[in-house]
Amino acid sequence: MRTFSRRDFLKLGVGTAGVTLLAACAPTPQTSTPSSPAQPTAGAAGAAPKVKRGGTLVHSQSWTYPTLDVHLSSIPTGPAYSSLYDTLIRHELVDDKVGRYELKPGLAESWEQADPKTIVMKLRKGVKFHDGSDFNAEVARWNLDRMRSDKKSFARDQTAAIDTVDVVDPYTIKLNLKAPSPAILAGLSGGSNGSATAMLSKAAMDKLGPDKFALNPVGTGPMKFKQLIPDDRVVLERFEDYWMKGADGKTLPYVDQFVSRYIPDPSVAMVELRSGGIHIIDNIPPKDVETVKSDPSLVYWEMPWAGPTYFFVGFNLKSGPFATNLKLRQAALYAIDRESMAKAIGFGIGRPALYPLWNSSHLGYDESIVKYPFDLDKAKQSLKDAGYPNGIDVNLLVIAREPENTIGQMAAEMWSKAGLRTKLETLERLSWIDRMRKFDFDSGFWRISTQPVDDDEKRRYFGTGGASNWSSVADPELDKLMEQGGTTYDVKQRAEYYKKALTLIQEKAYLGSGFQVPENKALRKEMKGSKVQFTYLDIRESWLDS
Amino acid sequence: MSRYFLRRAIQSIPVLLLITIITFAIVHLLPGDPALAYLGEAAAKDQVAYEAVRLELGLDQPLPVQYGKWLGKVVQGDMGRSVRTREPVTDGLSGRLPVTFQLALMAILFAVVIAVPVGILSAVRPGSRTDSVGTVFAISGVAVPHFWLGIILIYVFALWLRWLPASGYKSPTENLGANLQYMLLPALTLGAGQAAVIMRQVRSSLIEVLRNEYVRTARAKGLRERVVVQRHALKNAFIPVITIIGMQVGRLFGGAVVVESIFALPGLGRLAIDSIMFRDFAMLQGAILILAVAVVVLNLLTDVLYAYLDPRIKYA
Repeated sequence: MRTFSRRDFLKLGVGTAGVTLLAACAPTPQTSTPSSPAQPTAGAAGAAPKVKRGGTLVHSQSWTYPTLDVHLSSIPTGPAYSSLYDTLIRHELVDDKVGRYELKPGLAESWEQADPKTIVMKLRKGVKFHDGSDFNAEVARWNLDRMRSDKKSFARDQTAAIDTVDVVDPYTIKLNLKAPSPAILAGLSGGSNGSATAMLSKAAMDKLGPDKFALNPVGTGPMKFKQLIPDDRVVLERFEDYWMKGADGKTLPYVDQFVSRYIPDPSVAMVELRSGGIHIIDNIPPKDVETVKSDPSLVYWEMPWAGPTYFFVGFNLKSGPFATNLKLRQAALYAIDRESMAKAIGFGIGRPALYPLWNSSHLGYDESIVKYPFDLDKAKQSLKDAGYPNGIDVNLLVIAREPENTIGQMAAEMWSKAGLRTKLETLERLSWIDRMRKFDFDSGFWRISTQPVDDDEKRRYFGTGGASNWSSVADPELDKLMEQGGTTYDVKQRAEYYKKALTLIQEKAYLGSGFQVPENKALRKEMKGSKVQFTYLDIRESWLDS
Repeated sequence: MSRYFLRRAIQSIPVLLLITIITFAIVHLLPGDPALAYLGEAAAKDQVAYEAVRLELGLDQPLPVQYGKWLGKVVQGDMGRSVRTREPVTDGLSGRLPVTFQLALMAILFAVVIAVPVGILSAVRPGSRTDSVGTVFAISGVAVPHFWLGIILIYVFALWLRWLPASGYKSPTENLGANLQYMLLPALTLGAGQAAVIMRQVRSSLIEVLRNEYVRTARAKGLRERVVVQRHALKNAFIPVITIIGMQVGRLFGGAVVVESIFALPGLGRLAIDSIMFRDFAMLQGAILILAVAVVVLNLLTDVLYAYLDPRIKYA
């Protein structure tokens, strides 16, 4: 292995999603300016904009928090989590034009790479949990151990590179990595997995036990827990002793109370937003974008570099017609008209996804890599070459919900036109999971709710035994390339590995993709200063101008 | 009468037990298990996590053992913990029951308040303009689905007029005024369909009663029509109406599922559906038991009302 220099480390840039790593960090306490990518605050640069304090900020989402113990949450991305908890490193959006991120100090004040397999982190002093207990190296180690050892932890993948954690002194920890890991810092920031790697109060966990902690969470975040009404709302209130300071020199957050509501019906959530009942909604459906844009009391906030990918399609690679028939898989991929799909279901904001999981900001992305643009003749020819000149009957499994139902109908029709006579099976979510797990399918598709922050995360979708590897891709060569990419600091070298990996996926036609819609939020005009960590709402600097 | 009720109560125990067995069987016949629901489509291929969750939830044990363990705990007053929301089942139910109870009560109230006068007016003058309007109202009440009516009401009252909040819930103990504001539209939505059914029943039943000999006698005595209807006909016409209202309560819970979803109310109906989707057996059992008990009690209550309305009905 070539020698690893500090410069290499700084250069990491972790190209994916434009993350730039800052090895050296800003002075503490960190002071922030209240500007939002969506709402550039008036006033020349440098002039401290006026903020107003107080009020209750209300947010809504179409899902309910499965637990408030964020390590064990299958959706660790809601703003209640980022308000209750802090991560060691923050994943801040610094340029919303191109989607450039920087890793900034969170509970870790600074970090240094002592050698390729060792990271030393200086922790912020004087940070208190909401229960009054101290945040220190012991607590950080306990948290990192829990993320890796609890089998139900959703932060396991992100912290898997850590072998052991040493407490050097009360405010210094040393992470001993199993192998060099360019993804570990982004992983510790939570990245695309929200607050999964946040720090919880060990004292509270010891006192309450995991079951009660899940309902009475204690973190170091800007908001402390007040009330949970399951299936309705989480109510948080201002934590007076929060460590981060606002533009007015006082501690954050600006608002007194934060309410995260669960509104299952998106059209009702939209009415609530328009009538002022709530201030912000995550991920509005493409059909509502025009309504938001045309309403003078609302602001549309789009993050085009991220967002969910629909029609992420996989084939049964264990048994059935697709398993050993490359030409058949290629026929299926050629037969998908991604443009039409994006147009019909993306309502003007969708765009075709050329490659599965890779977009232009990712390492190794190269449009010279083999691709499968819509071509009915090629699809038919491939089907013939696959040994099915008269066509073939296949099934396509989809979870019964929108927009998947409509996408499934479009896809089935497109495939049938090419000669893959498709039986669309619309299944309730758990039935879909059950059949896919049992390999009782020919093909199936699902959605990827956001873009990976680091290319290493993609392993879960096609690495042998990956948690979301529904096709059960098991290709030792691909695993090796991903392993190499995941343990190489040199960005150029890393990109090479990922390019080869994408090439292999495409040549073998393991996976297909349909279209992507931008991550978006709709908010009321009076809500100012909102920021995101990755693409997830972070309300600590939000304030209400009313 | 009290012996009759005692007997009915004892009879309902095997019914409830059977319901728990059927619920248990159905939940386990459905494909997938709570461990898969817990992990979701993003992580359900993670075998290590899957096995760990199954073990923790006791899903690795044979089904009769799982049921036996559950029943053993229930007998001791421990209904377990929800896999989906992590709360103790008793807390989950006690939090949601008042919501659905209030919703159902207000819906029935709305339905009766609207349906009875309209039904009477229609019955007294069958074929009149009032009758036609009432009939149109009734037919549309039955024909319009809850989700459509709910959304329309939200648009009108929350977005255009801004009189009422669009969705959500406030506890009546916290703020009764706000609570009523939140519950008004959901109760109207749920009550509309019921009102239609009840109105039609009042109408037909009253028309029938008004044809009876004793009504003719009352009229022949020279009583005013109002007295004839109110004193003589109405009470008798109400027996089938009470039956219908009693039967509607079961349907009401079905409607509550939809209405609670639209108006984002944390009620029992939505809890039951979410629990089914998650295969959250403990919570589902709790919810179904409560609904079953409610139906049993309401049937009893209907019987009591029969006896009140018709002195010929006696329970021994």
